[in-house]
Amino acid sequence: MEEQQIVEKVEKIKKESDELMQTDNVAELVKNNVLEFEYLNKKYRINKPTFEQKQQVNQERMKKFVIMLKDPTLVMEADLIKLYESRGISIKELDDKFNLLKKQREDYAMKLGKALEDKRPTEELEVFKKEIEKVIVDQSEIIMRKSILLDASLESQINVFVYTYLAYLIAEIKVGEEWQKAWANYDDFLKEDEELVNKVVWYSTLISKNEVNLS
Amino acid sequence: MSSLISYDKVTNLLRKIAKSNYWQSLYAQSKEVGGIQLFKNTFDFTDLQVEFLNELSYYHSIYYDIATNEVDERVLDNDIYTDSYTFYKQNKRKKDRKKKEEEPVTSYHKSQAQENIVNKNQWVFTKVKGTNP
Repeated sequence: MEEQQIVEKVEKIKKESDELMQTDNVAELVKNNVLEFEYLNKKYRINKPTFEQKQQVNQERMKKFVIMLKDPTLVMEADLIKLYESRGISIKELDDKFNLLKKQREDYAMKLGKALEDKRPTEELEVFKKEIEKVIVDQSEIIMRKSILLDASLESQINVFVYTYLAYLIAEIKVGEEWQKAWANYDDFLKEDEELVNKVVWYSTLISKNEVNLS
Repeated sequence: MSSLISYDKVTNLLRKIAKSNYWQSLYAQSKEVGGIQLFKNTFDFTDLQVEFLNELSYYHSIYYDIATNEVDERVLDNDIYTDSYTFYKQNKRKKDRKKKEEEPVTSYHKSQAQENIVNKNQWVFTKVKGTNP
């Protein structure tokens, strides 16, 4: 076997093993409404937020919103869209393009669905699948572009804050046999190791998706 | 979880797990036999768990269509096939329902409907009368 082939085979095995590990991790994640993980030999736990915690996040969100409104360097999404408009970038145009692609995708899906029901040859199915794949790529590009353009908006900043604050609220650390609040206050959490903060925020987002009001 | 993966990847893997024989069989059993618990928690489900339950039910209906020969197994080859088939089926069902609603009520349908009402009422009253001491 040539060296190139060996390298390719090793990469393939590594990819498959990564996929298996990720599948196991997601299966574990879905089994419970609590997620435990270890970081630098310490055990952390993320719980589904309680009603009180959600209320607290909501109050903090409103406080932060008022503070941000007073900041002249921050722009509301509607104003940002107008600003882009004046520079020749149209968010509405992006939305229209996205909706047009959505319609195209649905048309191809109808054709592919019918072909599957009629048990048409695989080559025929693949033609529609490839068209749908192209549309998905175009749609993803629009989503990405819109998200980058609006990332600077006040609303977008608030959403980041909400998920970060919630993560701080619901994270716990195991001390002896007891679970305790992982950080005494929000500032301590932000000062923490960046890798740990990212992990806590990400896991918290997975556990608490759609639990809190966003802008 | 050792490394962070994107949310799209999580959703993707969630579908893969829901499609698996293990989870499909567990889901089917849990519907028929009481006492089979899918998750460690029995209430207060996360959004991800609810999404997973939807996926289980989604694939359950696809497997049913395969079993009844409405579609062949290729529908499970990839997510685009599966989603397109489901989208088509839902739209077809919607169209059929709309067509039925718009169908003019013929005199035959009317008489059938009246007959059904009379029959049902008769059944109710006869039953009550008959069982009275």
